[in-house]
Amino acid sequence: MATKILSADNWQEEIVNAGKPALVDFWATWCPHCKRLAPTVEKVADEYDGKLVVGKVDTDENPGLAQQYKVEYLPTFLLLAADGTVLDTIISPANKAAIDEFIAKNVQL
Amino acid sequence: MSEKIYDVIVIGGGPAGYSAALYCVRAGLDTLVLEMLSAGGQMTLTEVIDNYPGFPDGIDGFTLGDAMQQQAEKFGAVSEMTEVTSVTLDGPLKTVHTSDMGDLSAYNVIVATGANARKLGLPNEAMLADKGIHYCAACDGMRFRGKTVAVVGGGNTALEDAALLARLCEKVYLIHRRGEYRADKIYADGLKGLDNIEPVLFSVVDNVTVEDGFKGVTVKDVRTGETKFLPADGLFVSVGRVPNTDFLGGIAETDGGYLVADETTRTSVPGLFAVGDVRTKPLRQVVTAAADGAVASKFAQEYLTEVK
Repeated sequence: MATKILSADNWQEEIVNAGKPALVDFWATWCPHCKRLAPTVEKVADEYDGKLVVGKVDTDENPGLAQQYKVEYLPTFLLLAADGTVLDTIISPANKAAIDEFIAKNVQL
Repeated sequence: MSEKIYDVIVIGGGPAGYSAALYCVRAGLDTLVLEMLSAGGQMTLTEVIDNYPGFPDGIDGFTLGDAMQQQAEKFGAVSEMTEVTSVTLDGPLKTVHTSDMGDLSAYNVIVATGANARKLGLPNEAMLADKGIHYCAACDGMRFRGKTVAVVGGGNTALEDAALLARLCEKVYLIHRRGEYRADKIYADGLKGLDNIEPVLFSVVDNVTVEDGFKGVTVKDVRTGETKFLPADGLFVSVGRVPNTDFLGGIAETDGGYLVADETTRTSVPGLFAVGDVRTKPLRQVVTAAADGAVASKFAQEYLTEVK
């Protein structure tokens, strides 16, 4: 399943109403490490399909969401519980192994 | 472990890795490229590459990396996204251990893992990378024409960077923690006559100020602890590079972390090659990385003929 493109408009529907934990990647088009991680995020979305919602927020297009979730560094990944509350945050994970570990540490899938 | 034995496993999907893959598949070798992020390696950190021949208008690192991957794959190279955790040797066979693909076997392993600039460790450094804090004067110096910049470091690269920037910029602060630079004489001589370089000795970078753009660098005197603010439009960090060879666990000879190999790219281990920035070499550029990849394929073919 492809990564969901998130905005303030669909946040409630895609994240809160989904009834599943979610991994959200806050990124920007000008951030090199964000772009280098993009294929990794797609792979995570495929692997956790059905168990975890995986979405991306372009922080330039959605400054409100970035502010609301206190995103100061890019890329920042949030892991949210099924009810939409933030469980944990990781800044600039090096690779997929780091993201896998971040997920496994916080939720049982 | 999977039964399949590759002729070549390339670790790293930058210009050296995909050039090696391109030449290997075109020579008929069964070739797998392992990369943990998108293709392109350090090139992707450069907005415009102006010194790779054939692109008179420049090309961004992402596009070039992607094109190199496509070109190698067009001829049959296979790419997988995974992290290599270690490599072990078993006679002529090499086992490549990965984070999520298990163990993979090959006769030849071409190490193309590159090197990363050593960071200063400032709290906001990651966010300011290429946006005020820079790691490559040759890449980004042009942006600071007529402005004031600071360079931190005292080695050959730092002095070379300072000299390059002094020719472009109004003023260059050269910050070093010791009382004298440790660069070779030839680099120190390069600063002679460049009156717009102001040495800032016995000093380390304490923090940088960013308010509506980069405003300057605060340095701390290592002897007295006193701080001083240097107004500048950017900071160039030249405190060395860290080659990505830890995962090899010392199976091949290294020098300062770099894999020791001459122009043949052969390391101390038969069938293990070092290409691109990870190799001991005098000039680390995209064009020399790509050249290494081509050379490695020749010796990988030779090794295969010996052992297969």
